[in-house]
Amino acid sequence: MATVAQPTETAELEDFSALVARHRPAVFRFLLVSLRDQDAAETLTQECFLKAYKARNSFRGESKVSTWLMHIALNLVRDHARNRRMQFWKRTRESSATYESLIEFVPNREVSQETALLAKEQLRAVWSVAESLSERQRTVLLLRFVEELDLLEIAKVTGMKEGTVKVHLFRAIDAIRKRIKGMP
Amino acid sequence: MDEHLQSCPECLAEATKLHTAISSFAEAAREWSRALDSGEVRLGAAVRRAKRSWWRAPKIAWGLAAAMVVVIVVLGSLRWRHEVAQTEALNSVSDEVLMQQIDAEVSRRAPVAMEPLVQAITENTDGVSSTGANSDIHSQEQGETK
Repeated sequence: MATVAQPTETAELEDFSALVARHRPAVFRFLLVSLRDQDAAETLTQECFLKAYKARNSFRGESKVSTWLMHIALNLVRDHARNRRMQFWKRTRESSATYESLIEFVPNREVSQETALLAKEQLRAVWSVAESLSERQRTVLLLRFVEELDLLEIAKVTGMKEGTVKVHLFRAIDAIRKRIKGMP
Repeated sequence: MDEHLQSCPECLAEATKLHTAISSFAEAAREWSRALDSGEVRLGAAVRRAKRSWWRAPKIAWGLAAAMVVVIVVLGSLRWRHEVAQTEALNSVSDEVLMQQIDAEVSRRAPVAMEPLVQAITENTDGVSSTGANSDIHSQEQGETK
């Protein structure tokens, strides 16, 4: 099927400040959850919009602006991970503090202290599984459940086929299922 | 699958647990992000820098292009001068060679075809003055011409 340029998508780029305001939270969230490092997420969010600004003329509206921005953000995550692999000592030193702070954000459903503790444990378990997943599986998991993108959009962001996305998502969910199975 | 979940309480419990865990994870991630997001849009300065560099880039490109044109012109003219000088030198050398050939032809005692005869006569007239032999040949040549 031939892709047709969508004027509404390209029109969104005309007011770039509005575009930043609209999409910044999602881009920052994806970067933060992917990197588990606030400073890096802040820096890469700026970097993502700067790249988008520079490349705005090459955007043909074949996908949603949000999908395009997520694609740029994902490339930045990959570059960042590649750089950090070179500096492996840095990896162990940072991020555990920010990662632990996430556990505090367990959804408050006005439950008992015991249930809240259990929920925290479950959240910690899911996070540890997410950390142990491959980069692709984790990305698909985050895009599906945190960003609530559909499979086709995830395929566009990641450059994978829809079937491959399904496989990665299944493996990620299965890993979580196995991890929490024995938990109360 | 839904039918099975309705009829199997164990699987339903597991599915519910999984759904809750993933939902909590997603919700916590969103909350965490909201709490840590400074919301600062520091993009203005970066965009201005990008705009400036975008504007500056063609200037640099044009400057480089102009410099390259100058270098090409200078190199071209130097090469052209070198080639002209080489051609002139070759021409003067060939002129000189031609003049030498003409000189050699003009100063011959006899035409090329007669050279062996002249040599034979010279050998036969050993003891006879070379001037006499030459004058004999000269008169012989004149006789032939007449």
